[in-house]
Amino acid sequence: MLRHEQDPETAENPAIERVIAELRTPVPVRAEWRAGLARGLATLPPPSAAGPRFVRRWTFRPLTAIAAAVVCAVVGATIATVLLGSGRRSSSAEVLANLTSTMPLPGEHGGQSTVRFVLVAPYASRVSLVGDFNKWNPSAMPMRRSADGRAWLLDVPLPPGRHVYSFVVDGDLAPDPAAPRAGDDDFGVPSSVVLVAGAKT
Amino acid sequence: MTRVLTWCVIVVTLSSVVGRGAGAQAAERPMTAAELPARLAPATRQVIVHLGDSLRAVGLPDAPLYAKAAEGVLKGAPDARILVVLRALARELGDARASLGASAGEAELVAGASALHVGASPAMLRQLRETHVGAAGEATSLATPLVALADLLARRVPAGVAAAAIDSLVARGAPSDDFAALRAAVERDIDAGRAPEASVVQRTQGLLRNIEGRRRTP
Repeated sequence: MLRHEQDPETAENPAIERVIAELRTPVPVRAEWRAGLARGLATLPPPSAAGPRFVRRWTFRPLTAIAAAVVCAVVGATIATVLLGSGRRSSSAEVLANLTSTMPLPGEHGGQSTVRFVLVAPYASRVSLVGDFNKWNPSAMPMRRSADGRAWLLDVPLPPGRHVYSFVVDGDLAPDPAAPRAGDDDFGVPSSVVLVAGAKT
Repeated sequence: MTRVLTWCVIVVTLSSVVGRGAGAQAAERPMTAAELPARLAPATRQVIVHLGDSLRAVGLPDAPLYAKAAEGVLKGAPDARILVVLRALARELGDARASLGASAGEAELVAGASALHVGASPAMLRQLRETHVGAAGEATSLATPLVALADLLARRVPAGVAAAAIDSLVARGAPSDDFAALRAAVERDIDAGRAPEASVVQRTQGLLRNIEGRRRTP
Protein backbone atom coordinates (compact mmCIF):
# COMPACT_ATOMS: atom_id res chain seq x y z
CA MET A 1 0.00 0.00 0.00
CA LEU A 2 1.32 3.30 -0.98
CA ARG A 3 1.74 5.88 1.58
CA HIS A 4 0.49 9.24 0.53
CA GLU A 5 2.51 12.10 1.68
CA GLN A 6 0.07 14.76 2.75
CA ASP A 7 0.28 18.08 1.05
CA PRO A 8 0.58 20.82 3.66
CA GLU A 9 -2.07 22.87 1.84
CA THR A 10 -4.68 20.05 1.89
CA ALA A 11 -3.82 18.47 5.22
CA GLU A 12 -6.12 20.70 7.17
CA ASN A 13 -8.98 20.88 4.58
CA PRO A 14 -11.87 18.63 5.71
CA ALA A 15 -13.61 18.65 2.31
CA ILE A 16 -10.55 17.27 0.60
CA GLU A 17 -10.09 14.78 3.40
CA ARG A 18 -13.62 13.49 2.70
CA VAL A 19 -13.00 13.11 -1.01
CA ILE A 20 -9.81 11.21 -0.36
CA ALA A 21 -11.58 8.90 2.08
CA GLU A 22 -14.34 8.30 -0.47
CA LEU A 23 -11.85 7.41 -3.18
CA ARG A 24 -10.06 4.96 -0.87
CA THR A 25 -13.26 3.03 -0.21
CA PRO A 26 -13.18 -0.33 -2.15
CA VAL A 27 -15.61 -0.61 -5.05
CA PRO A 28 -18.04 -3.46 -4.57
CA VAL A 29 -17.74 -6.17 -7.31
CA ARG A 30 -20.52 -8.57 -8.07
CA ALA A 31 -19.80 -12.14 -7.02
CA GLU A 32 -20.70 -13.59 -10.50
CA TRP A 33 -18.22 -11.21 -12.21
CA ARG A 34 -15.49 -12.27 -9.89
CA ALA A 35 -16.30 -15.97 -10.48
CA GLY A 36 -16.29 -15.43 -14.27
CA LEU A 37 -12.90 -13.75 -14.14
CA ALA A 38 -11.54 -16.62 -12.06
CA ARG A 39 -12.82 -19.19 -14.59
CA GLY A 40 -11.29 -17.27 -17.47
CA LEU A 41 -7.91 -17.11 -15.78
CA ALA A 42 -8.07 -20.82 -15.00
CA THR A 43 -8.43 -21.69 -18.72
CA LEU A 44 -5.27 -19.79 -19.76
CA PRO A 45 -2.11 -21.90 -20.32
CA PRO A 46 0.60 -21.57 -17.74
CA PRO A 47 3.26 -19.00 -18.62
CA SER A 48 6.40 -20.49 -20.19
CA ALA A 49 9.77 -19.29 -19.10
CA ALA A 50 11.38 -19.73 -22.53
CA GLY A 51 8.50 -18.81 -24.81
CA PRO A 52 7.74 -15.43 -26.19
CA ARG A 53 5.53 -13.18 -24.14
CA PHE A 54 3.70 -11.96 -27.22
CA VAL A 55 2.92 -14.20 -30.19
CA ARG A 56 2.08 -12.55 -33.51
CA ARG A 57 0.20 -14.50 -36.09
CA TRP A 58 1.41 -14.24 -39.73
CA THR A 59 -0.85 -15.34 -42.54
CA PHE A 60 0.74 -16.52 -45.83
CA ARG A 61 -0.85 -15.41 -49.09
CA PRO A 62 0.82 -16.96 -52.18
CA LEU A 63 -0.18 -14.22 -54.64
CA THR A 64 1.05 -11.51 -52.32
CA ALA A 65 4.32 -13.34 -51.83
CA ILE A 66 4.81 -13.74 -55.62
CA ALA A 67 3.96 -10.11 -56.22
CA ALA A 68 6.39 -8.99 -53.56
CA ALA A 69 9.12 -11.20 -55.03
CA VAL A 70 8.57 -9.84 -58.55
CA VAL A 71 8.55 -6.25 -57.34
CA CYS A 72 11.76 -6.84 -55.38
CA ALA A 73 13.40 -8.46 -58.44
CA VAL A 74 12.39 -5.62 -60.75
CA VAL A 75 13.53 -2.96 -58.32
CA GLY A 76 16.79 -4.81 -57.70
CA ALA A 77 17.47 -5.29 -61.39
CA THR A 78 16.74 -1.63 -62.09
CA ILE A 79 19.07 -0.47 -59.35
CA ALA A 80 21.78 -2.89 -60.53
CA THR A 81 21.40 -1.74 -64.13
CA VAL A 82 21.65 1.91 -63.17
CA LEU A 83 24.67 1.33 -60.92
CA LEU A 84 26.52 -0.95 -63.35
CA GLY A 85 25.59 1.18 -66.33
CA SER A 86 26.92 4.34 -64.78
CA GLY A 87 30.14 2.54 -63.95
CA ARG A 88 30.87 1.46 -67.51
CA ARG A 89 29.42 4.32 -69.50
CA SER A 90 31.30 5.06 -72.70
CA SER A 91 30.83 7.33 -75.63
CA SER A 92 28.97 5.97 -78.63
CA ALA A 93 32.13 6.10 -80.73
CA GLU A 94 34.03 4.05 -78.16
CA VAL A 95 31.27 1.49 -77.98
CA LEU A 96 31.11 1.05 -81.75
CA ALA A 97 34.88 0.93 -82.09
CA ASN A 98 35.10 -2.04 -79.74
CA LEU A 99 32.70 -4.36 -81.48
CA THR A 100 33.66 -7.86 -82.40
CA SER A 101 31.44 -10.71 -83.29
CA THR A 102 31.31 -14.33 -84.22
CA MET A 103 29.92 -15.39 -87.55
CA PRO A 104 26.20 -16.17 -87.32
CA LEU A 105 25.79 -19.91 -87.10
CA PRO A 106 22.73 -21.16 -88.92
CA GLY A 107 21.24 -24.45 -87.97
CA GLU A 108 23.48 -25.26 -85.06
CA HIS A 109 21.35 -24.14 -82.19
CA GLY A 110 17.99 -25.52 -81.35
CA GLY A 111 16.88 -26.54 -84.83
CA GLN A 112 17.67 -26.51 -88.49
CA SER A 113 16.87 -22.87 -89.15
CA THR A 114 17.81 -21.21 -85.89
CA VAL A 115 20.60 -18.69 -86.24
CA ARG A 116 22.65 -17.56 -83.25
CA PHE A 117 23.77 -13.95 -83.45
CA VAL A 118 26.62 -12.94 -81.16
CA LEU A 119 28.11 -9.49 -80.73
CA VAL A 120 30.96 -8.76 -78.35
CA ALA A 121 30.27 -5.29 -77.05
CA PRO A 122 31.22 -5.13 -73.37
CA TYR A 123 30.70 -1.39 -73.10
CA ALA A 124 27.27 -1.30 -74.70
CA SER A 125 24.27 -0.87 -72.47
CA ARG A 126 21.60 -1.91 -74.99
CA VAL A 127 21.87 -4.01 -78.14
CA SER A 128 19.15 -5.24 -80.46
CA LEU A 129 19.00 -7.04 -83.78
CA VAL A 130 17.25 -5.59 -86.84
CA GLY A 131 16.81 -7.06 -90.28
CA ASP A 132 14.48 -8.02 -93.04
CA PHE A 133 13.20 -10.78 -90.75
CA ASN A 134 11.78 -8.39 -88.16
CA LYS A 135 10.74 -5.45 -90.32
CA TRP A 136 13.86 -3.53 -89.22
CA ASN A 137 12.16 -2.80 -85.95
CA PRO A 138 14.76 -1.94 -83.24
CA SER A 139 12.46 -2.93 -80.41
CA ALA A 140 11.42 -6.30 -81.83
CA MET A 141 14.50 -8.34 -80.93
CA PRO A 142 16.53 -7.08 -77.97
CA MET A 143 19.66 -9.18 -77.43
CA ARG A 144 20.54 -10.58 -74.02
CA ARG A 145 23.85 -10.04 -72.30
CA SER A 146 26.01 -13.10 -71.78
CA ALA A 147 26.83 -14.35 -68.31
CA ASP A 148 30.28 -12.73 -68.34
CA GLY A 149 28.80 -9.43 -69.47
CA ARG A 150 30.98 -9.12 -72.58
CA ALA A 151 28.81 -10.47 -75.37
CA TRP A 152 25.24 -10.08 -76.53
CA LEU A 153 23.36 -13.11 -77.79
CA LEU A 154 20.17 -13.93 -79.61
CA ASP A 155 18.84 -17.06 -81.28
CA VAL A 156 16.46 -16.33 -84.15
CA PRO A 157 14.49 -18.84 -86.21
CA LEU A 158 14.98 -17.87 -89.87
CA PRO A 159 13.62 -19.37 -93.06
CA PRO A 160 16.14 -20.52 -95.70
CA GLY A 161 17.51 -17.72 -97.84
CA ARG A 162 19.54 -14.55 -97.74
CA HIS A 163 18.86 -12.22 -94.81
CA VAL A 164 20.17 -8.69 -94.43
CA TYR A 165 20.60 -7.50 -90.86
CA SER A 166 22.41 -5.13 -88.56
CA PHE A 167 22.88 -4.49 -84.85
CA VAL A 168 21.56 -1.46 -83.01
CA VAL A 169 24.12 -0.62 -80.33
CA ASP A 170 22.97 2.05 -77.90
CA GLY A 171 20.81 3.51 -80.65
CA ASP A 172 23.41 3.42 -83.43
CA LEU A 173 23.32 1.00 -86.37
CA ALA A 174 26.38 -1.22 -86.62
CA PRO A 175 27.02 -3.99 -89.16
CA ASP A 176 28.20 -7.38 -87.97
CA PRO A 177 32.02 -7.26 -87.91
CA ALA A 178 32.24 -11.01 -88.55
CA ALA A 179 29.76 -11.40 -91.38
CA PRO A 180 29.93 -10.41 -95.05
CA ARG A 181 28.68 -6.94 -95.84
CA ALA A 182 25.52 -6.66 -97.88
CA GLY A 183 26.37 -5.51 -101.36
CA ASP A 184 23.12 -3.62 -101.68
CA ASP A 185 23.76 -0.91 -99.09
CA ASP A 186 21.49 1.48 -100.91
CA PHE A 187 20.93 3.84 -98.04
CA GLY A 188 24.52 4.68 -97.20
CA VAL A 189 24.63 2.63 -94.00
CA PRO A 190 26.23 -0.81 -94.29
CA SER A 191 24.44 -3.99 -93.27
CA SER A 192 25.47 -7.61 -93.04
CA VAL A 193 24.25 -10.78 -94.70
CA VAL A 194 23.53 -14.19 -93.25
CA LEU A 195 22.67 -17.13 -95.44
CA VAL A 196 20.42 -19.86 -94.17
CA ALA A 197 20.78 -22.93 -96.33
CA GLY A 198 17.82 -25.19 -96.78
CA ALA A 199 15.32 -26.66 -99.12
CA LYS A 200 14.03 -24.70 -102.07
CA THR A 201 11.49 -22.07 -100.97
CA MET B 1 -4.64 -2.65 -52.19
CA THR B 2 -2.34 -5.65 -52.03
CA ARG B 3 -4.60 -7.58 -54.35
CA VAL B 4 -4.61 -4.76 -56.90
CA LEU B 5 -0.81 -4.59 -56.76
CA THR B 6 -0.64 -8.34 -57.19
CA TRP B 7 -2.76 -8.33 -60.33
CA CYS B 8 -0.84 -5.36 -61.74
CA VAL B 9 2.43 -7.25 -61.37
CA ILE B 10 0.97 -10.39 -62.94
CA VAL B 11 -0.46 -8.47 -65.91
CA VAL B 12 2.82 -6.61 -66.50
CA THR B 13 4.84 -9.82 -66.29
CA LEU B 14 2.55 -11.72 -68.66
CA SER B 15 2.43 -8.86 -71.17
CA SER B 16 6.22 -8.67 -71.28
CA VAL B 17 6.44 -12.42 -71.86
CA VAL B 18 3.82 -12.24 -74.62
CA GLY B 19 5.65 -9.28 -76.17
CA ARG B 20 8.90 -11.25 -76.42
CA GLY B 21 7.04 -14.13 -78.00
CA ALA B 22 5.61 -11.84 -80.65
CA GLY B 23 9.12 -10.66 -81.48
CA ALA B 24 10.20 -14.20 -82.18
CA GLN B 25 7.15 -14.83 -84.34
CA ALA B 26 7.93 -11.78 -86.45
CA ALA B 27 10.94 -13.59 -87.87
CA GLU B 28 8.78 -16.23 -89.48
CA ARG B 29 6.04 -14.12 -91.08
CA PRO B 30 6.74 -12.16 -94.26
CA MET B 31 6.15 -8.44 -94.06
CA THR B 32 3.00 -6.99 -95.59
CA ALA B 33 2.06 -3.57 -96.94
CA ALA B 34 0.00 -2.90 -93.82
CA GLU B 35 3.19 -3.04 -91.76
CA LEU B 36 5.05 -0.33 -93.63
CA PRO B 37 6.58 2.21 -91.22
CA ALA B 38 4.31 5.09 -90.25
CA ARG B 39 7.03 7.64 -91.06
CA LEU B 40 6.48 7.21 -94.80
CA ALA B 41 4.43 9.93 -96.45
CA PRO B 42 1.00 8.79 -97.67
CA ALA B 43 1.98 9.38 -101.30
CA THR B 44 5.16 7.31 -100.87
CA ARG B 45 3.21 4.56 -99.17
CA GLN B 46 0.72 4.53 -102.03
CA VAL B 47 3.50 4.08 -104.59
CA ILE B 48 5.05 1.26 -102.56
CA VAL B 49 1.73 -0.53 -102.21
CA HIS B 50 1.19 -0.18 -105.96
CA LEU B 51 4.67 -1.62 -106.62
CA GLY B 52 3.93 -4.53 -104.28
CA ASP B 53 0.59 -5.21 -105.99
CA SER B 54 2.36 -5.25 -109.35
CA LEU B 55 4.88 -7.81 -108.11
CA ARG B 56 2.20 -10.05 -106.65
CA ALA B 57 0.18 -9.84 -109.83
CA VAL B 58 3.02 -11.49 -111.77
CA GLY B 59 3.74 -14.04 -109.07
CA LEU B 60 6.78 -12.32 -107.55
CA PRO B 61 7.22 -11.91 -103.77
CA ASP B 62 6.34 -8.46 -102.42
CA ALA B 63 7.64 -8.93 -98.87
CA PRO B 64 11.26 -8.05 -99.83
CA LEU B 65 9.97 -4.73 -101.12
CA TYR B 66 8.32 -3.79 -97.81
CA ALA B 67 11.32 -4.97 -95.83
CA LYS B 68 13.57 -2.79 -97.98
CA ALA B 69 11.31 0.20 -97.33
CA ALA B 70 11.50 -0.43 -93.59
CA GLU B 71 15.29 -0.65 -93.83
CA GLY B 72 15.39 2.71 -95.60
CA VAL B 73 13.21 4.30 -92.95
CA LEU B 74 15.36 2.97 -90.11
CA LYS B 75 18.49 4.23 -91.87
CA GLY B 76 17.00 7.68 -92.24
CA ALA B 77 16.76 7.72 -96.03
CA PRO B 78 14.42 10.26 -97.61
CA ASP B 79 11.26 8.94 -99.25
CA ALA B 80 12.52 9.77 -102.74
CA ARG B 81 15.62 7.66 -102.24
CA ILE B 82 13.57 4.80 -100.84
CA LEU B 83 11.36 4.81 -103.93
CA VAL B 84 14.38 4.73 -106.25
CA VAL B 85 15.77 1.71 -104.42
CA LEU B 86 12.41 -0.08 -104.37
CA ARG B 87 11.85 0.41 -108.08
CA ALA B 88 15.29 -1.03 -108.77
CA LEU B 89 14.57 -3.99 -106.49
CA ALA B 90 11.26 -4.69 -108.21
CA ARG B 91 12.99 -4.64 -111.58
CA GLU B 92 15.79 -6.93 -110.36
CA LEU B 93 13.32 -9.42 -108.90
CA GLY B 94 11.68 -9.61 -112.33
CA ASP B 95 15.03 -10.00 -114.07
CA ALA B 96 16.06 -12.71 -111.61
CA ARG B 97 12.91 -14.68 -112.33
CA ALA B 98 13.45 -14.28 -116.06
CA SER B 99 16.98 -15.67 -115.66
CA LEU B 100 16.32 -18.39 -113.08
CA GLY B 101 13.02 -19.62 -114.45
CA ALA B 102 9.46 -19.72 -113.25
CA SER B 103 10.22 -22.49 -110.79
CA ALA B 104 12.67 -20.35 -108.81
CA GLY B 105 11.73 -20.01 -105.16
CA GLU B 106 11.55 -16.75 -103.19
CA ALA B 107 14.97 -17.27 -101.59
CA GLU B 108 16.52 -17.81 -105.02
CA LEU B 109 14.80 -14.77 -106.47
CA VAL B 110 15.97 -12.52 -103.62
CA ALA B 111 19.51 -13.86 -103.86
CA GLY B 112 19.47 -13.51 -107.65
CA ALA B 113 18.20 -9.94 -107.41
CA SER B 114 20.97 -9.05 -104.98
CA ALA B 115 23.57 -10.57 -107.34
CA LEU B 116 22.19 -8.56 -110.25
CA HIS B 117 22.24 -5.45 -108.06
CA VAL B 118 25.97 -5.72 -107.42
CA GLY B 119 27.04 -6.43 -110.98
CA ALA B 120 26.10 -9.93 -112.08
CA SER B 121 24.51 -10.15 -115.50
CA PRO B 122 21.33 -12.06 -116.37
CA ALA B 123 23.48 -14.30 -118.57
CA MET B 124 25.59 -15.29 -115.54
CA LEU B 125 22.47 -16.24 -113.61
CA ARG B 126 21.16 -18.28 -116.53
CA GLN B 127 24.48 -20.11 -116.82
CA LEU B 128 24.50 -20.87 -113.10
CA ARG B 129 20.97 -22.22 -113.25
CA GLU B 130 21.78 -24.50 -116.19
CA THR B 131 24.86 -25.83 -114.44
CA HIS B 132 22.91 -26.30 -111.22
CA VAL B 133 20.07 -28.18 -112.89
CA GLY B 134 22.57 -30.38 -114.67
CA ALA B 135 24.48 -31.18 -111.49
CA ALA B 136 21.82 -31.27 -108.77
CA GLY B 137 18.42 -31.09 -110.43
CA GLU B 138 15.53 -28.67 -110.01
CA ALA B 139 14.61 -29.74 -106.50
CA THR B 140 17.55 -28.22 -104.68
CA SER B 141 18.00 -24.50 -104.09
CA LEU B 142 20.44 -22.29 -105.94
CA ALA B 143 20.16 -19.59 -103.27
CA THR B 144 23.46 -20.37 -101.56
CA PRO B 145 25.63 -20.12 -104.70
CA LEU B 146 23.80 -16.94 -105.70
CA VAL B 147 24.44 -15.36 -102.30
CA ALA B 148 28.10 -16.33 -102.53
CA LEU B 149 28.27 -14.75 -105.99
CA ALA B 150 26.68 -11.54 -104.69
CA ASP B 151 29.10 -11.42 -101.76
CA LEU B 152 32.14 -11.86 -104.00
CA LEU B 153 30.92 -9.12 -106.33
CA ALA B 154 30.30 -6.86 -103.34
CA ARG B 155 33.97 -7.33 -102.41
CA ARG B 156 34.95 -6.10 -105.89
CA VAL B 157 35.92 -9.45 -107.32
CA PRO B 158 35.67 -9.13 -111.14
CA ALA B 159 32.26 -10.43 -112.24
CA GLY B 160 33.64 -12.94 -114.76
CA VAL B 161 36.05 -14.45 -112.23
CA ALA B 162 33.42 -14.67 -109.50
CA ALA B 163 30.81 -16.24 -111.78
CA ALA B 164 33.32 -18.79 -113.12
CA ALA B 165 34.40 -19.76 -109.61
CA ILE B 166 30.83 -20.25 -108.39
CA ASP B 167 29.90 -22.11 -111.56
CA SER B 168 32.78 -24.56 -111.16
CA LEU B 169 31.74 -25.31 -107.57
CA VAL B 170 28.09 -25.74 -108.58
CA ALA B 171 29.11 -28.10 -111.40
CA ARG B 172 30.86 -30.37 -108.90
CA GLY B 173 27.96 -30.36 -106.47
CA ALA B 174 29.76 -28.42 -103.74
CA PRO B 175 27.82 -28.32 -100.45
CA SER B 176 26.60 -25.07 -98.86
CA ASP B 177 29.50 -25.06 -96.44
CA ASP B 178 31.96 -24.75 -99.32
CA PHE B 179 30.31 -21.58 -100.61
CA ALA B 180 30.30 -20.10 -97.12
CA ALA B 181 33.95 -21.08 -96.72
CA LEU B 182 34.86 -19.49 -100.06
CA ARG B 183 33.29 -16.14 -99.31
CA ALA B 184 34.74 -16.05 -95.78
CA ALA B 185 38.24 -16.95 -96.99
CA VAL B 186 38.17 -14.39 -99.80
CA GLU B 187 36.99 -11.72 -97.39
CA ARG B 188 39.88 -12.53 -95.05
CA ASP B 189 42.36 -12.47 -97.93
CA ILE B 190 41.13 -9.12 -99.18
CA ASP B 191 41.26 -7.66 -95.68
CA ALA B 192 44.85 -8.92 -95.50
CA GLY B 193 45.69 -6.98 -98.66
CA ARG B 194 45.52 -9.73 -101.26
CA ALA B 195 44.12 -9.09 -104.74
CA PRO B 196 40.46 -10.24 -104.92
CA GLU B 197 40.91 -12.08 -108.23
CA ALA B 198 43.96 -14.05 -107.06
CA SER B 199 42.25 -14.95 -103.82
CA VAL B 200 39.13 -16.28 -105.52
CA VAL B 201 41.12 -18.37 -108.00
CA GLN B 202 43.33 -19.94 -105.37
CA ARG B 203 40.56 -20.56 -102.83
CA THR B 204 38.29 -22.10 -105.44
CA GLN B 205 41.03 -24.43 -106.63
CA GLY B 206 41.57 -25.52 -103.04
CA LEU B 207 37.88 -26.28 -102.57
CA LEU B 208 37.72 -28.21 -105.85
CA ARG B 209 40.69 -30.32 -104.78
CA ASN B 210 38.91 -31.06 -101.50
CA ILE B 211 35.76 -32.11 -103.35
CA GLU B 212 37.78 -34.47 -105.55
CA GLY B 213 39.53 -35.82 -102.49
CA ARG B 214 36.21 -36.51 -100.74
CA ARG B 215 34.94 -38.32 -103.82
CA ARG B 216 37.98 -40.58 -103.98
CA THR B 217 37.77 -41.41 -100.28
CA PRO B 218 35.23 -44.21 -99.78
